[in-house]
Amino acid sequence: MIFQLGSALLDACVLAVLNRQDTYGYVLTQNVKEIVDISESTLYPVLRRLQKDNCLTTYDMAYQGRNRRYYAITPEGRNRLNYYLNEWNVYKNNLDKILFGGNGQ
Amino acid sequence: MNRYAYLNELSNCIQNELPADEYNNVMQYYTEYFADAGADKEQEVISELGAPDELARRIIAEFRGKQPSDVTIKSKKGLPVGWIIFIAIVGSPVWLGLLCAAIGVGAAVVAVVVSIAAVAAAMILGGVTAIAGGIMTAFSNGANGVLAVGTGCLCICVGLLLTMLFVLIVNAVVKGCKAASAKKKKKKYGGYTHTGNAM
Repeated sequence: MIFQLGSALLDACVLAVLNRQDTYGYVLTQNVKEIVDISESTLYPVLRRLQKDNCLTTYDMAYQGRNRRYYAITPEGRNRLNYYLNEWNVYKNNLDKILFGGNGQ
Repeated sequence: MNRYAYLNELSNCIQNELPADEYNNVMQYYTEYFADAGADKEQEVISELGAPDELARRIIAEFRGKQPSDVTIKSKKGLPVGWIIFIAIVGSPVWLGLLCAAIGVGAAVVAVVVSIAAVAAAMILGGVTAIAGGIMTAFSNGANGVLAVGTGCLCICVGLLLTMLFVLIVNAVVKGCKAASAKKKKKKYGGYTHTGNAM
Protein backbone atom coordinates (compact mmCIF):
# COMPACT_ATOMS: atom_id res chain seq x y z
CA MET A 1 0.00 0.00 0.00
CA ILE A 2 1.38 3.39 -0.92
CA PHE A 3 -0.53 5.28 1.81
CA GLN A 4 1.16 5.50 5.18
CA LEU A 5 -0.65 4.06 8.16
CA GLY A 6 -0.21 6.31 11.19
CA SER A 7 -0.18 5.01 14.74
CA ALA A 8 -3.76 6.15 15.38
CA LEU A 9 -5.07 4.16 12.41
CA LEU A 10 -3.02 1.16 13.48
CA ASP A 11 -4.55 1.40 16.97
CA ALA A 12 -7.99 1.63 15.33
CA CYS A 13 -7.32 -1.51 13.23
CA VAL A 14 -6.22 -3.51 16.28
CA LEU A 15 -9.21 -2.35 18.34
CA ALA A 16 -11.58 -3.14 15.47
CA VAL A 17 -10.25 -6.70 15.15
CA LEU A 18 -10.47 -7.22 18.92
CA ASN A 19 -13.98 -5.74 18.95
CA ARG A 20 -15.12 -8.70 16.87
CA GLN A 21 -13.41 -11.33 19.00
CA ASP A 22 -10.59 -11.92 21.44
CA THR A 23 -7.48 -13.24 19.82
CA TYR A 24 -3.72 -13.77 20.32
CA GLY A 25 -0.64 -12.05 18.94
CA TYR A 26 0.03 -14.17 15.89
CA VAL A 27 -3.53 -14.21 14.53
CA LEU A 28 -3.96 -10.52 15.30
CA THR A 29 -0.82 -9.73 13.34
CA GLN A 30 -1.95 -11.85 10.40
CA ASN A 31 -5.39 -10.19 10.41
CA VAL A 32 -3.93 -6.70 10.32
CA LYS A 33 -1.31 -7.79 7.78
CA GLU A 34 -4.03 -8.86 5.39
CA ILE A 35 -5.25 -5.30 4.98
CA VAL A 36 -2.20 -3.15 5.58
CA ASP A 37 1.46 -3.73 4.93
CA ILE A 38 3.00 -3.92 8.40
CA SER A 39 6.04 -5.76 9.66
CA GLU A 40 5.56 -8.65 12.07
CA SER A 41 7.43 -6.66 14.69
CA THR A 42 5.01 -3.71 14.60
CA LEU A 43 2.22 -4.96 16.81
CA TYR A 44 3.89 -5.74 20.12
CA PRO A 45 4.53 -2.06 20.97
CA VAL A 46 0.99 -1.18 19.82
CA LEU A 47 -0.56 -3.83 22.07
CA ARG A 48 1.58 -2.74 25.00
CA ARG A 49 0.58 0.90 24.53
CA LEU A 50 -3.13 0.06 24.27
CA GLN A 51 -2.88 -2.12 27.34
CA LYS A 52 -1.17 0.67 29.28
CA ASP A 53 -4.04 2.98 28.27
CA ASN A 54 -6.58 0.43 29.61
CA CYS A 55 -8.00 -0.08 26.13
CA LEU A 56 -7.39 -3.81 26.27
CA THR A 57 -6.70 -6.56 28.79
CA THR A 58 -4.99 -9.90 28.48
CA TYR A 59 -5.74 -13.35 29.79
CA ASP A 60 -3.80 -16.58 29.43
CA MET A 61 -5.17 -19.86 28.13
CA ALA A 62 -3.46 -23.23 27.91
CA TYR A 63 -3.03 -24.47 24.36
CA GLN A 64 -1.27 -27.74 23.50
CA GLY A 65 0.70 -27.78 26.72
CA ARG A 66 1.85 -24.19 26.48
CA ASN A 67 0.48 -20.80 27.23
CA ARG A 68 -1.32 -18.50 24.84
CA ARG A 69 -1.99 -14.88 25.74
CA TYR A 70 -5.31 -13.54 24.46
CA TYR A 71 -6.12 -9.88 24.06
CA ALA A 72 -9.61 -8.53 24.79
CA ILE A 73 -11.04 -5.07 24.25
CA THR A 74 -12.25 -3.13 27.33
CA PRO A 75 -15.16 -0.64 27.58
CA GLU A 76 -12.56 2.11 27.42
CA GLY A 77 -11.16 0.49 24.29
CA ARG A 78 -14.64 0.49 22.71
CA ASN A 79 -14.97 4.20 23.50
CA ARG A 80 -11.69 4.90 21.82
CA LEU A 81 -12.63 2.71 18.83
CA ASN A 82 -15.90 4.67 18.41
CA TYR A 83 -13.96 7.90 18.59
CA TYR A 84 -11.54 6.63 15.91
CA LEU A 85 -14.43 5.43 13.71
CA ASN A 86 -16.11 8.85 13.85
CA GLU A 87 -12.85 10.62 13.12
CA TRP A 88 -12.20 8.23 10.27
CA ASN A 89 -15.62 8.89 8.75
CA VAL A 90 -15.04 12.64 8.81
CA TYR A 91 -11.57 12.26 7.38
CA LYS A 92 -12.69 9.79 4.70
CA ASN A 93 -15.58 11.99 3.56
CA ASN A 94 -13.35 15.03 3.34
CA LEU A 95 -10.78 13.07 1.36
CA ASP A 96 -13.47 11.71 -0.96
CA LYS A 97 -14.72 15.23 -1.61
CA ILE A 98 -11.30 16.23 -2.84
CA LEU A 99 -10.46 13.02 -4.66
CA PHE A 100 -13.82 12.29 -6.29
CA GLY A 101 -15.34 15.79 -6.28
CA GLY A 102 -18.76 14.60 -5.11
CA ASN A 103 -20.22 14.21 -1.64
CA GLY A 104 -18.23 11.11 -1.02
CA GLN A 105 -19.79 7.65 -0.58
CA MET B 1 19.68 -19.01 12.89
CA ASN B 2 16.77 -20.86 14.46
CA ARG B 3 14.11 -19.40 16.75
CA TYR B 4 15.96 -20.40 19.91
CA ALA B 5 19.10 -18.57 18.81
CA TYR B 6 16.95 -15.59 17.80
CA LEU B 7 15.07 -15.45 21.11
CA ASN B 8 18.30 -15.94 23.02
CA GLU B 9 19.91 -12.99 21.28
CA LEU B 10 16.80 -10.87 21.77
CA SER B 11 16.89 -11.79 25.45
CA ASN B 12 20.56 -10.75 25.71
CA CYS B 13 19.76 -7.39 24.16
CA ILE B 14 16.77 -6.44 26.32
CA GLN B 15 17.63 -8.13 29.62
CA ASN B 16 19.48 -5.18 31.11
CA GLU B 17 17.29 -2.51 29.50
CA LEU B 18 13.79 -3.39 30.68
CA PRO B 19 12.20 -4.08 34.08
CA ALA B 20 11.73 -7.77 34.84
CA ASP B 21 7.96 -7.88 34.20
CA GLU B 22 8.22 -6.10 30.86
CA TYR B 23 11.17 -8.31 29.88
CA ASN B 24 9.02 -11.37 30.65
CA ASN B 25 6.12 -9.94 28.61
CA VAL B 26 8.31 -9.39 25.56
CA MET B 27 9.94 -12.81 25.75
CA GLN B 28 6.57 -14.49 26.26
CA TYR B 29 5.02 -12.62 23.34
CA TYR B 30 7.74 -13.59 20.86
CA THR B 31 8.11 -17.14 22.18
CA GLU B 32 4.36 -17.61 21.67
CA TYR B 33 4.54 -15.86 18.33
CA PHE B 34 7.11 -18.37 17.03
CA ALA B 35 5.10 -21.27 18.47
CA ASP B 36 1.87 -20.05 16.80
CA ALA B 37 3.61 -19.40 13.48
CA GLY B 38 4.83 -23.01 13.45
CA ALA B 39 8.17 -24.55 12.58
CA ASP B 40 7.70 -24.24 8.80
CA LYS B 41 7.25 -20.46 9.05
CA GLU B 42 10.18 -20.06 11.46
CA GLN B 43 12.65 -18.61 8.94
CA GLU B 44 9.97 -16.38 7.43
CA VAL B 45 9.17 -14.90 10.84
CA ILE B 46 12.86 -14.39 11.63
CA SER B 47 13.47 -12.47 8.42
CA GLU B 48 10.27 -10.44 8.92
CA LEU B 49 11.18 -9.52 12.48
CA GLY B 50 14.62 -8.36 11.38
CA ALA B 51 17.87 -8.51 13.32
CA PRO B 52 17.30 -9.25 17.03
CA ASP B 53 19.20 -6.14 18.16
CA GLU B 54 17.10 -3.95 15.82
CA LEU B 55 13.89 -5.44 17.20
CA ALA B 56 15.25 -4.92 20.73
CA ARG B 57 16.01 -1.30 19.90
CA ARG B 58 12.42 -0.68 18.76
CA ILE B 59 10.92 -2.41 21.81
CA ILE B 60 13.13 -0.47 24.23
CA ALA B 61 12.45 2.83 22.41
CA GLU B 62 8.69 2.28 22.60
CA PHE B 63 8.97 1.39 26.29
CA ARG B 64 10.92 4.55 27.09
CA GLY B 65 8.93 6.77 24.73
CA LYS B 66 12.03 7.57 22.66
CA GLN B 67 13.15 7.16 19.06
CA PRO B 68 14.86 3.84 18.20
CA SER B 69 17.94 5.78 17.07
CA ASP B 70 18.31 7.18 20.61
CA VAL B 71 18.64 3.72 22.12
CA THR B 72 22.03 2.14 22.66
CA ILE B 73 22.11 -1.47 23.70
CA LYS B 74 24.56 -2.78 26.24
CA SER B 75 24.49 -6.40 25.14
CA LYS B 76 25.43 -9.00 27.73
CA LYS B 77 27.26 -10.97 25.07
CA GLY B 78 30.99 -11.42 25.74
CA LEU B 79 33.17 -9.84 28.42
CA PRO B 80 33.11 -6.05 28.52
CA VAL B 81 36.37 -4.39 27.44
CA GLY B 82 36.78 -2.86 30.91
CA TRP B 83 36.80 -6.30 32.45
CA ILE B 84 39.37 -7.60 29.98
CA ILE B 85 41.72 -4.68 30.79
CA PHE B 86 41.14 -5.13 34.53
CA ILE B 87 41.94 -8.84 34.36
CA ALA B 88 45.02 -8.15 32.22
CA ILE B 89 46.39 -5.65 34.80
CA VAL B 90 45.52 -7.65 37.92
CA GLY B 91 46.83 -10.86 36.39
CA SER B 92 50.03 -9.24 35.10
CA PRO B 93 52.36 -10.79 37.76
CA VAL B 94 51.26 -14.22 36.53
CA TRP B 95 51.16 -13.70 32.79
CA LEU B 96 54.24 -11.44 32.71
CA GLY B 97 56.16 -14.13 34.61
CA LEU B 98 54.93 -16.82 32.23
CA LEU B 99 55.75 -14.64 29.23
CA CYS B 100 59.32 -14.03 30.52
CA ALA B 101 59.75 -17.76 31.19
CA ALA B 102 58.54 -18.59 27.68
CA ILE B 103 60.92 -16.02 26.13
CA GLY B 104 63.76 -17.41 28.28
CA VAL B 105 63.11 -21.00 27.20
CA GLY B 106 62.85 -19.93 23.57
CA ALA B 107 66.12 -18.00 23.79
CA ALA B 108 67.86 -20.97 25.43
CA VAL B 109 66.69 -23.33 22.68
CA VAL B 110 67.89 -20.93 19.98
CA ALA B 111 71.22 -20.50 21.82
CA VAL B 112 71.76 -24.27 22.00
CA VAL B 113 71.00 -24.72 18.29
CA VAL B 114 73.30 -21.82 17.30
CA SER B 115 76.10 -23.09 19.54
CA ILE B 116 75.83 -26.54 17.96
CA ALA B 117 76.38 -24.90 14.58
CA ALA B 118 79.27 -22.82 15.95
CA VAL B 119 80.97 -25.83 17.55
CA ALA B 120 80.52 -27.82 14.34
CA ALA B 121 82.10 -25.05 12.27
CA ALA B 122 84.94 -24.66 14.79
CA MET B 123 85.56 -28.42 14.83
CA ILE B 124 85.79 -28.62 11.03
CA LEU B 125 88.01 -25.54 10.77
CA GLY B 126 90.21 -26.76 13.65
CA GLY B 127 90.41 -30.21 12.09
CA VAL B 128 91.53 -28.82 8.74
CA THR B 129 94.14 -26.62 10.43
CA ALA B 130 95.39 -29.53 12.55
CA ILE B 131 95.75 -31.75 9.46
CA ALA B 132 97.59 -29.04 7.58
CA GLY B 133 99.85 -28.34 10.57
CA GLY B 134 100.37 -32.07 11.15
CA ILE B 135 101.55 -32.66 7.58
CA MET B 136 104.07 -29.80 7.90
CA THR B 137 105.25 -31.06 11.33
CA ALA B 138 105.51 -34.66 10.09
CA PHE B 139 108.70 -33.75 8.15
CA SER B 140 110.57 -32.64 11.30
CA ASN B 141 108.80 -34.70 13.99
CA GLY B 142 107.03 -37.76 12.54
CA ALA B 143 105.14 -38.96 15.65
CA ASN B 144 103.76 -35.52 16.60
CA GLY B 145 102.79 -34.82 12.97
CA VAL B 146 100.83 -38.07 12.63
CA LEU B 147 99.17 -37.39 16.01
CA ALA B 148 98.07 -33.93 14.81
CA VAL B 149 96.72 -35.32 11.52
CA GLY B 150 94.79 -38.01 13.41
CA THR B 151 93.34 -35.46 15.85
CA GLY B 152 92.38 -33.26 12.89
CA CYS B 153 90.50 -36.12 11.23
CA LEU B 154 88.68 -36.84 14.48
CA CYS B 155 87.71 -33.16 14.85
CA ILE B 156 86.35 -33.03 11.29
CA CYS B 157 84.28 -36.17 11.95
CA VAL B 158 82.77 -34.75 15.13
CA GLY B 159 82.14 -31.43 13.29
CA LEU B 160 80.32 -33.20 10.46
CA LEU B 161 78.20 -35.18 12.95
CA LEU B 162 77.24 -31.93 14.73
CA THR B 163 76.42 -30.35 11.35
CA MET B 164 74.05 -33.24 10.64
CA LEU B 165 72.43 -32.76 14.06
CA PHE B 166 72.01 -29.04 13.33
CA VAL B 167 70.42 -29.73 9.94
CA LEU B 168 68.09 -32.28 11.53
CA ILE B 169 66.94 -29.78 14.19
CA VAL B 170 66.37 -26.96 11.64
CA ASN B 171 64.40 -29.33 9.40
CA ALA B 172 62.23 -30.46 12.30
CA VAL B 173 61.48 -26.83 13.32
CA VAL B 174 60.57 -25.81 9.75
CA LYS B 175 58.31 -28.86 9.35
CA GLY B 176 56.68 -28.13 12.72
CA CYS B 177 55.94 -24.52 11.75
CA LYS B 178 54.42 -25.57 8.41
CA ALA B 179 52.24 -28.19 10.11
CA ALA B 180 51.07 -25.68 12.73
CA SER B 181 50.07 -23.05 10.16
CA ALA B 182 48.27 -25.67 8.05
CA LYS B 183 46.36 -26.82 11.15
CA LYS B 184 45.41 -23.23 11.96
CA LYS B 185 43.99 -22.70 8.46
CA LYS B 186 41.99 -25.90 8.73
CA LYS B 187 40.64 -24.89 12.14
CA LYS B 188 39.53 -21.46 10.84
CA TYR B 189 37.70 -23.00 7.92
CA GLY B 190 36.05 -25.55 10.21
CA GLY B 191 34.78 -22.75 12.45
CA TYR B 192 33.34 -20.86 9.50
CA THR B 193 31.35 -23.81 8.16
CA HIS B 194 30.05 -24.50 11.66
CA THR B 195 28.57 -21.02 12.04
CA GLY B 196 27.32 -21.33 8.47
CA ASN B 197 25.26 -24.35 9.43
CA ALA B 198 23.96 -22.77 12.60
CA MET B 199 22.73 -19.59 10.95
